Amino acid sequence: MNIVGGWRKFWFSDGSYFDLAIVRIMAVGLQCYVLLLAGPGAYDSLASLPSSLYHPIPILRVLMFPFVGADIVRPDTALLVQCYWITLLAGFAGLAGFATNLSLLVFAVGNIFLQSYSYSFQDYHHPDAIMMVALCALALAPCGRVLSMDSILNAQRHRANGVTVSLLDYKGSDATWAIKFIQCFFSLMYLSAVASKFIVSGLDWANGYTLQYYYVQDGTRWESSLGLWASQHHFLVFLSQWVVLLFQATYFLIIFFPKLRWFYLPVGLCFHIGIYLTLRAPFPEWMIFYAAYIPWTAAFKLFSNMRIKVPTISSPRVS
Amino acid sequence: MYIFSKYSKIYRVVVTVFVLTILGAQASTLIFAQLINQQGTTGVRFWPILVYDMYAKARHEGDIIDVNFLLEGVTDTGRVVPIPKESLGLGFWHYVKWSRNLVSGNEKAIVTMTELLRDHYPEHHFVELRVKNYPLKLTSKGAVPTESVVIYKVAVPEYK
Repeated sequence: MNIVGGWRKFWFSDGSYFDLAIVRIMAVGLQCYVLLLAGPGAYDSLASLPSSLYHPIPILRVLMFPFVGADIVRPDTALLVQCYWITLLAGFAGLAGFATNLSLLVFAVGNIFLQSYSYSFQDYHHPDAIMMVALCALALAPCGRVLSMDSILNAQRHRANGVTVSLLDYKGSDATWAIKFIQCFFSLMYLSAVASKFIVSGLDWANGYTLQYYYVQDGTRWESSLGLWASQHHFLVFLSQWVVLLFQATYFLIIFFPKLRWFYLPVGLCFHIGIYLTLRAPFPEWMIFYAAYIPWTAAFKLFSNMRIKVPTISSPRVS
Repeated sequence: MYIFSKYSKIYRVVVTVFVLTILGAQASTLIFAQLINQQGTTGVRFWPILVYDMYAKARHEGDIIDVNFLLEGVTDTGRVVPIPKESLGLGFWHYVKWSRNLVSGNEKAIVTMTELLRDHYPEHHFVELRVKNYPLKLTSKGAVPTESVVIYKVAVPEYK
């Protein structure tokens, strides 16, 4: 098979629109929740920061270029709050699947603008980058083909001449790539995490003390008694550091051997829940995108076709 | 939405460009992470393409644990005034990252320091800012208290 054929087979083989719609609902739902949790008040506290802390990152400059040119201006709070509400509205539309792709495009760009602004004050965090990238992919993908207002409106429009198909059997060659893209991006994040450890520290990273240190640091910062407790068990921490290295270094295998997901996903979930409980470092975006590895259609079919044994009813009920 | 079906070839080209660009950029961080780290440009510059270097630095027994730095201002009369992080109007992470930049001698962090002191301590005549470590040290059995000592001093420019 040539490269083009292999590429087409990997990215554009038939996939379920239902799987894609589930990923859309989970991702957009989480991001709407994150926005609601932050609230428009978040931009007031950023506005009060010293101007010398403000160094707009390149993507913010790109987004602002059509409006302010090359000037390093700081957008005012009123503009940010307006942008916040437009983004949230687009998010709800995307969640409901109304004008799905347009809504998701506005939602993605709005989120990137707001997040890049808040990251222009020399502080940033790792969890949300995958959300931004995935939202862009979903905005390009036909993720509103089912489980959406669009699909209901479209069905009404084609009531006379359309054909009916089972929701779970509706497939297309454009339904796969976005899910595979998220899966690949995820693997690269874990590879980056393990590569950084080797580059910065080498194998010395897994000396046991490293994670103990971070348990104390974050346990003290965020008053995590579990983190402080864990920091007292050197050998246990030493072992868990090796587990982390092995997990991150081999996670990409899931792309080539999908059955491995039944091992990596539960381990990964425990890993992120453990990080949250001990270090109080939330990675909800990472956990939600594990959904991209779940064959939802197959799972729903399995459950809907599952037959269970029921006790024999001795006397029929009379209603 | 069904525009995708009508223009499937163009659509596939657009998707291919998107996939190659984003995955290629993220994959390049694996190769260039060393370079990025050495140049001190690790971080948010290419966000949302990132080097995932969280918790990557190895630590050892006896290390002082950097929960956060403690600040003190020295006035022109020699009086030492504690400067709690809450008094500077910064969020936790902004404080941690600014103070870390300050200790590494970053000039922009010194400008920020002047702005912060001008805004939040206008009545003081600070001539020096001292940064002290957090009083915790790592052992194999967890953290033990240690002395908090001055690890960095910086002259405060006139800010009245």
